[in-house]
Amino acid sequence: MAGASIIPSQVLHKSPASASDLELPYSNAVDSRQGFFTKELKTPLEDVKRYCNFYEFGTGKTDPEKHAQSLTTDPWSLEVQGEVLHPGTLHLEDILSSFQLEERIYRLRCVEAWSMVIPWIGFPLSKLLARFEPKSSAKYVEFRTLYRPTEMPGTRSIFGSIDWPYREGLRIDEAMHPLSLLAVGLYGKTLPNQNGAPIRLVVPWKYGFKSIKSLVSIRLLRSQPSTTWQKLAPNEYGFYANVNPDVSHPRWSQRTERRLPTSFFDPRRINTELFNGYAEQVGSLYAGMDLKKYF
Amino acid sequence: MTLLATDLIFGRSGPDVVSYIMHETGDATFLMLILALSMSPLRHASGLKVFLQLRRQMGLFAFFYASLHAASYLYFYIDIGWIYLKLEILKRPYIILGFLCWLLLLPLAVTSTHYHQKMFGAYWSALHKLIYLASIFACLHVYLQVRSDFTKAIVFSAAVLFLLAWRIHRRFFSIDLRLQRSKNLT
Repeated sequence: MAGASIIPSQVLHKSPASASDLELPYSNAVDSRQGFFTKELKTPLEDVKRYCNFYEFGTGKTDPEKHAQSLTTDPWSLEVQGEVLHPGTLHLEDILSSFQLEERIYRLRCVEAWSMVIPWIGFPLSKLLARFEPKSSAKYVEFRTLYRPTEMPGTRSIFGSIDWPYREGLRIDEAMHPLSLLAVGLYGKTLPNQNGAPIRLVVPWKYGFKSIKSLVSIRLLRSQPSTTWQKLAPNEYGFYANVNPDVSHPRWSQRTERRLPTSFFDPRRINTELFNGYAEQVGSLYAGMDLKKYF
Repeated sequence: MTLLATDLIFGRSGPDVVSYIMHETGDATFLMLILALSMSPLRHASGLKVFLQLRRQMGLFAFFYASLHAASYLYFYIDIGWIYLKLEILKRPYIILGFLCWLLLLPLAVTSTHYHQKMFGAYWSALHKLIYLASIFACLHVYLQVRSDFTKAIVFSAAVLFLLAWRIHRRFFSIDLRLQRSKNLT
């Protein structure tokens, strides 16, 4: 359908005030065999916007919606460094104009045992990485979120124990998998700030905290990077963080999940599936691995 | 409570009702525990007897919210099956602590009437000191659930520690008491 070349100029030079509400051109998700699409009921946009974890803006679920509105997302740049042939920086407008956007309807399973179904707009991470030509020595990818305390009240908490900026990581084969998405929008429009504007990662077979928001840096590395939650509580959060009903969080079971939205009389508790139901697509990445050890 | 009910009816509770109810009833319990513990210091500072009546009220509120909190937990998690629920409770120390807290408050709520107060006499105050233990358990219950930000846990337990410290001071180190003692000696 619509190509990247016809992105309206307002997307390219948008004013921060209306940054989260612009229509994006994209092609529809069709391929359910590859896991790009699910027919499950989508979580309403309103709920996706008001129920988030984005600790830079506070630890409460509604804090990000309240506090992220003042985040400056324009101008925005993303640097790609490390084990690549051509390290460099991309500006958001370059990104939007050089990659064909597509819709992906994914399940999102939070490590806290709730889940959503979200129609993302984005492009495969592999396409962006390919542009910088990773060397054969690149075994891992490290991602970083913007760290700007003046606009992020959560990072100023005196009793917070996170070492900012927020960091995440993937193995290179995970990063190159067609399901790994760089999202710039949801529900057809640019990302709301609280959902990780202007660009974020979405890795649907892993717990949500792997899908790092408001990306400013990607580094290709020879060895496994240290990631925020693993560093904070290594017995609770592993580097892989693959959705797995058989590996419980020390403080709660991962056997089931609450599919949002829920109500008092309809808690919509469903069984959690291995790799969040994407086992067919990603299972081979972990062949022979002890998933209880590498959780 | 009314707020909780209207939030649920009008959908202000957000998409994750389980998490919303568990957090709201838990926070309300804690607030009521802190208020109940504040009544004796306030009475001593002001000399107003009304705080003693309020103390019972606040204590009962604490028990009421704790019961809602526990009942909600059971209601929302019962559908994972009894066996899993049992495992779930036994494996998680914070859930055991929370349950113990409710268990400690139970006899206090039952014996909260004037009738019981008279019936038990001196034992009544001794029994009702269980609230100190319950509040300590409540603090641990919150601490064990912290993921990265300790602010709430610290604010809650600072309040509890202050109110317990006030009692320890009054019981063992207050000037009145020391004067009393020296008077007895002479």
